[in-house]
Amino acid sequence: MERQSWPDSRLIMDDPLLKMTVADQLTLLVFTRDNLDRIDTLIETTNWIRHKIAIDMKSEDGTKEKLCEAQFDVESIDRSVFVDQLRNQYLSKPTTPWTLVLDSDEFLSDDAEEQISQLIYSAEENIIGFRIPRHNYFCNLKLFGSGFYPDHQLRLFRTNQIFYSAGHHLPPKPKKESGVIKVLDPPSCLHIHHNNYPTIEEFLKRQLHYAITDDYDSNPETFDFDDYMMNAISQFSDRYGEREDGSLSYVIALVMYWDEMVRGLIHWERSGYSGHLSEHVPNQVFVANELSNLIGQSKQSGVFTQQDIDNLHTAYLNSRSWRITAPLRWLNSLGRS
Amino acid sequence: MVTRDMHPMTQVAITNLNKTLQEAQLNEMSSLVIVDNSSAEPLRHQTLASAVPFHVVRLDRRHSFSSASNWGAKKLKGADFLLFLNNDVFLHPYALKYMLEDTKLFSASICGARLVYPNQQIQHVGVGFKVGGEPYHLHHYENSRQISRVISPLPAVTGAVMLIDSDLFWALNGFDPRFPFAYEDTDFCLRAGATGATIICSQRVESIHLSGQTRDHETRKFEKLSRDIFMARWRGRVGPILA
Repeated sequence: MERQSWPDSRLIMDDPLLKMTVADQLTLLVFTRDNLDRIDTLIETTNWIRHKIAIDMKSEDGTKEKLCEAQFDVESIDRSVFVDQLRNQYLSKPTTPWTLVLDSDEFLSDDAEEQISQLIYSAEENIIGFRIPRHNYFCNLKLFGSGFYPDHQLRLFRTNQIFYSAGHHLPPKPKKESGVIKVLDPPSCLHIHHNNYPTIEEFLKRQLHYAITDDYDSNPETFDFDDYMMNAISQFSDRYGEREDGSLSYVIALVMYWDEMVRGLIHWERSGYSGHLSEHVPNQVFVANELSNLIGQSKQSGVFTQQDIDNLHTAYLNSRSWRITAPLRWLNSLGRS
Repeated sequence: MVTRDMHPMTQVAITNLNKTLQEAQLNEMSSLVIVDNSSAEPLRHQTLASAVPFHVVRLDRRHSFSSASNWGAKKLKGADFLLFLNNDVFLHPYALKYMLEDTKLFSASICGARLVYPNQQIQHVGVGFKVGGEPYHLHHYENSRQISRVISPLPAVTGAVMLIDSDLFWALNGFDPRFPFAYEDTDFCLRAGATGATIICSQRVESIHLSGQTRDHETRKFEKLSRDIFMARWRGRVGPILA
């Protein structure tokens, strides 16, 4: 078919598709280690960024070569489990005014360039960074509850103006107290997309890796397994939200409960097996045994005596769960009086 | 194809699109771009089935329909024709074949499609203008059996199904993103018409347009804003065309 030609002189309005370029203002900083299976999406969605630095921890699966192909400036370093601390060493490497830090399993949307442009060009002097909401994907579904959203991350900031603390996934902080961090207001704004855990198995593996490689205080006096038990309960109640994420939230709540307990055990080991961990076994287990025995006896005798009830009550009062929940009961009693 | 949630409906629209591309013998030389305009639940490659290769453009911020459409079109630079298709339109198997034939026959640069509601009432056979310049759908809600299938040049067609010569689209810089919701298609057609482009609506077959699936309180507010922009730009510049 013969097609009509439309010369440029026919342009009758400014090109709305042309955007301000942010390419020279920004450096992407990524830390990698054997991420070949998930690096494609990151490369594809950040190919508009001109300055890209990858700090590669001796990948053996071709990640480094793939990054070189994608025009990343790749620096090889020794392997380390403390990536956040490593980041501090390389935060001064970018020569652009702004730095964007992403993980190898994260990616951006197609309108990210436009939105980052707007953020950078409209940032006042005192704003040193942006906390960006993050969409986390679990089993390929976006999470809306379970403590996973909006999951703000300080990832876009003025170069060398923030630092990371020791440990896994602790939020970075501004170097100067006067620095203002702007928090983006979801849902209709720039997001980081995080393909966290494609499968439950992957989730379990990763949590265990973090638990094993995390920093623990080795001073035996600071260890209290009760803290971990309380954290576990707190994790479960915070993460479980059927309305937002259905059964996935139950999976997450259970795994995070387990994660806290595992961390408690690792901490106990690293603080020299101090104290008797079995003191912390929830006494409700023993109460349950006691109850079972009492019921058994009552069934045999055919009578549930006052002594049985008193025994049960005493067992419960001595239980650890009773002591753990004491503050709550005290608050409740205040409410009633 | 711009989408925001409603993925099952989008899948039906894609299935119909595949069929019409096949009948037009275009399935091997076409690409589909789906623009996920800030869906609560993201559109996933794994859950979509399409014989035609497709690419998903993911937008974080809720863009105007025009802006989202432009995002999609950018991924198809180099194509001869661009077909803009709403995800609530189920194309007739021969719709695209006839649209292309009619486009050639009338040397048109923009071609719309005859659209009906599921009850066979007319949803779209072209856009006319009331006295004063307010656009409206010709023969809206009339029974399709009673409406002529004669093709004649029109001032505008709906963007729900719009086949555009891509050179024209880029010469006009696409849809004007300043329209928050609606009227961007009519504006585009009027700008195209001002350059001498011929606009028609293919009438031989009917496709189904559910219409209004994404309308809510917010889009109604945006629609009013769009109308104001449109009327400020075109009032007094378009003559009345009444059905």
